[in-house]
Amino acid sequence: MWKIYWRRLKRNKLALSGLSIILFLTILAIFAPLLTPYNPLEQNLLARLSSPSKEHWFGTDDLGRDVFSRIIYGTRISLTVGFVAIGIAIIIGTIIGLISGYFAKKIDLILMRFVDIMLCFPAFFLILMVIAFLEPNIYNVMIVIGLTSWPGLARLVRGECLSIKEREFISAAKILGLSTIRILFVHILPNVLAPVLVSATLGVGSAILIESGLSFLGLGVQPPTPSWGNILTSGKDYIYLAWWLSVFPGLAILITVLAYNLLGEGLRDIFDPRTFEG
Amino acid sequence: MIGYILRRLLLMIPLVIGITVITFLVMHLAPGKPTDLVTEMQVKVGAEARERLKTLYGLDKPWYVQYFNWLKRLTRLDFGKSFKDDRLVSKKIFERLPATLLLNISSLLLIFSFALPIGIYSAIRQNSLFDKGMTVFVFLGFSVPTFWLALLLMILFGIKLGLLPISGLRSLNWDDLSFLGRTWDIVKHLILPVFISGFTGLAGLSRYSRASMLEVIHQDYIRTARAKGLPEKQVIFKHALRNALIPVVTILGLSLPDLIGGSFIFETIFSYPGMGRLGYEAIMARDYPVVMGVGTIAAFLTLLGNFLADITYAYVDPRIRYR
Amino acid sequence: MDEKILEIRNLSVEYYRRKRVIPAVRNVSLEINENETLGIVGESGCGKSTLALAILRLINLNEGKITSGEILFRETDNGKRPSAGEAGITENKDILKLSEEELEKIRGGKIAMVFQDPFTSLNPVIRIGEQIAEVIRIHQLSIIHPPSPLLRFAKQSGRDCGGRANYQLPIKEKVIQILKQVMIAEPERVYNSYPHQLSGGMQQRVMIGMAISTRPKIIIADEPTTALDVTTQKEILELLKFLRKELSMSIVLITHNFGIICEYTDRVIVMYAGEIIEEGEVKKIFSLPLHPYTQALIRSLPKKGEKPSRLSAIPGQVPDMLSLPPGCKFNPRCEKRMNICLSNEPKLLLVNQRKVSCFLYN
Repeated sequence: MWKIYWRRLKRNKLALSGLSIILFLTILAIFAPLLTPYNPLEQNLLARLSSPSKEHWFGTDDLGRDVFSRIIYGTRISLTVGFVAIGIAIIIGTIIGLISGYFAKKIDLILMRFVDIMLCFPAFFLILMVIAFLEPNIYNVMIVIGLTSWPGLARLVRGECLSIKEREFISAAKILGLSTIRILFVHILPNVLAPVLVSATLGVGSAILIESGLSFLGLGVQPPTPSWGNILTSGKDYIYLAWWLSVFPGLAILITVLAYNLLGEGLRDIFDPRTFEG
Repeated sequence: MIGYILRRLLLMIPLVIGITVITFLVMHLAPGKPTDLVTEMQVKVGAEARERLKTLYGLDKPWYVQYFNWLKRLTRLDFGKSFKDDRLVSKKIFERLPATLLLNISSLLLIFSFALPIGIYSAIRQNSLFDKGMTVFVFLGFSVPTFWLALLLMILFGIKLGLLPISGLRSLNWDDLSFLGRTWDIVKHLILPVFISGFTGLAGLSRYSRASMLEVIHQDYIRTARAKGLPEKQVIFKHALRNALIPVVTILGLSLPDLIGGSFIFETIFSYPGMGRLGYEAIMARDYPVVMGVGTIAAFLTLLGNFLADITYAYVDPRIRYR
Repeated sequence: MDEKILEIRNLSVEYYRRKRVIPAVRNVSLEINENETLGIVGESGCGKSTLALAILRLINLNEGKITSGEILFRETDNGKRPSAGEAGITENKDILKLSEEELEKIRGGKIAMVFQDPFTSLNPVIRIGEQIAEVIRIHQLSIIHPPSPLLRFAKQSGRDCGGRANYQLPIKEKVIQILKQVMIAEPERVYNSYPHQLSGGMQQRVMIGMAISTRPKIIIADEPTTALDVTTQKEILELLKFLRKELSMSIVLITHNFGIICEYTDRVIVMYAGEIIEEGEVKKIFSLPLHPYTQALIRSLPKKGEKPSRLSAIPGQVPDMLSLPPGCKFNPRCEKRMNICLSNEPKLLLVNQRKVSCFLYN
């Protein structure tokens, strides 16, 4: 099965373009110190708010720091937050979804009501609220985004689990006397992996968006650590003077999120059972 | 129909309880008691405020007593008084609510009146240039950080072109304006915030109504309508549209939390005098009573929106109405 | 009686899936006579439904298209009773060449369809009454503004234009009358119902009502009873039989069930892999089938007084339309296969008062 998916992936333009951008960004993030012309924290008060030039490709900010270098370093923050937050969401969402779908009845009812309630809160405000009570830093941001992103995933996994557990091989596993945990994780889990992967890929994109929004509002990654969101904050502060402070970090966010969305939609096509053949 | 509405109302009861529990929990989530936090972070909130909080939340009592007290006050919409200016939280919120509703309802109207035609047109012209253009638009809509788009539009229309105001809801010379002038003034102030807060929803709903329409036009009853000799226009607008609308209405209800959540960020960017900015400022100032009040009201607004969506859903789908 | 009302010449339809071509109907020619019930029989996937859809150009353009052929519909301008002098003002129109507007007049007006699954074929959000009324309304419009001056004259002089006097009634009453005509017990209630409130049999009656509401010349019924239970099946078929006589129209009955063909049709066309392989009067074909496939089909019917254990199936599998064998398409499953069958395609030839396409009879 995965072989077929791999062959389809190689032919899917959406997924390929998304994947190559993501790989490129990952390389940028890993080798950031080698690729940046300046130290992202180094201030140069003589070159404050200078517009893009040969020395400073994307200009400098209000403290004379090189925006290009800061954006490259910002890649690290965005990718890390995206991955860790969605990692947390996948773990919680999958477990709750599996339990809810497999045991059904009362447990299902209670868990799904809980999901409904979570979905009722404007997620962004819930995150704002929690961050306000905790200390705003990158760890709390990742955890809180993760803790608020799982309900959709749980619903998805539950739906898949409901249909899979009716199939013969699950009854066979039950008759063989396999433990419930084994059935859930060895026999059902692999079958729900495809939709989870699609939804998680799209989720990384929206987690990056949320992080940048939080940092933009001053509730995410705190300065002087460079993140795309907090570079944009100074963009807003100097909106009349320095357009480059707004334009470049935003473009970075756009491209990154777009890459994840492309990959996610591409994967959706790849995993779609209706598009058989080849 | 009435039975259906009652059933929906009954189903909402656990949701209401859940919302209150979560709000209550978040309040107690902070390391230590909310009172400690307040006083640590804000020096000007002194011992007096700490005492007030203590009595307000009854922090010396067991948690279930606290919870029921909180519920009791909730039914009277009593969220206590703001730390900042000592005014009633409910009053502060209701002052700001109309502006927020104006913004969100305008965005909903924008979303609905553009997304549906766009989605339907690209569905019936599947794979046309327009359809492909829409797909690109949808991808951008999902990927663009809207607050950044807001900044760009502010730079373009507000600063470079000077066409639109970029903050607030009223101009400085508001008092001197005629009625028409005032209306126009508000409209001008609303254009950018409404467009920005509707942007993601617009992309999402266009895509969704396209998918829904595509599914419907491949149904048997559309073939029947054609076989009857109906002109294509009637096939699309009479037979396909109503069926395609059914799932779209549901998704509209589900998109409300995002819309309301978005107002916290957009109202702040545009210095828009709504509930979202009130909430944001309260968070930054650690003004707890206001934060809790705004959070609860936002959740209930979402719930109300979902309920309205359910009723509309039943209205368009006779299979729900007559069971 | 024996006049042709519709003639199909060399019709081919292809479907496209990914980049592959599926030749669903290949070079089919047939005619439909006035006042007859023509049966089309074959296994699923043999192209019989595609053929039905193609007659009204209902093939979805994203999925496939009619690649060649003609569909000639004979239109008598003045209904059943042409004015004395101009008897037989008839015109053969090629449906494939009609404009959208002209086509819409034929669809539902002159040729109506009844589909397989009434539940999915009725619009779930529109009341039954309106679904029937709109057909009447739309085709009535084309009568108020008739294309030929002749008809306008006929109307002015107050002549009865073959049942069209009924259009004077308010549409609702007309619909109720139709519901009664298709033997629906509570027409008023059904008028105000939505499809999901009716049983499958009732829904199919509504579909039939919709089809007859404009007094069409031909009704094409594509597996009209497959989705229904056995007792309802019989009721629906009897209803169609009754209405055909009452309204003097032609019916094309498409089915995979040879039993239904024997009982309800006059003439039969047997299709295999998108082609006609045998065609003729039902009685003759049933008593003496010539093509090995037809023989197998008839042999597989349960016979009265025999135990069901003797049901015989046709060996082999339904042909894969993506890779048809060379020569006769039936050869892999044929008991009487000869060498020529593997390389040459047989032609449909007149043998023994019927047409058959098999080398056994060349």
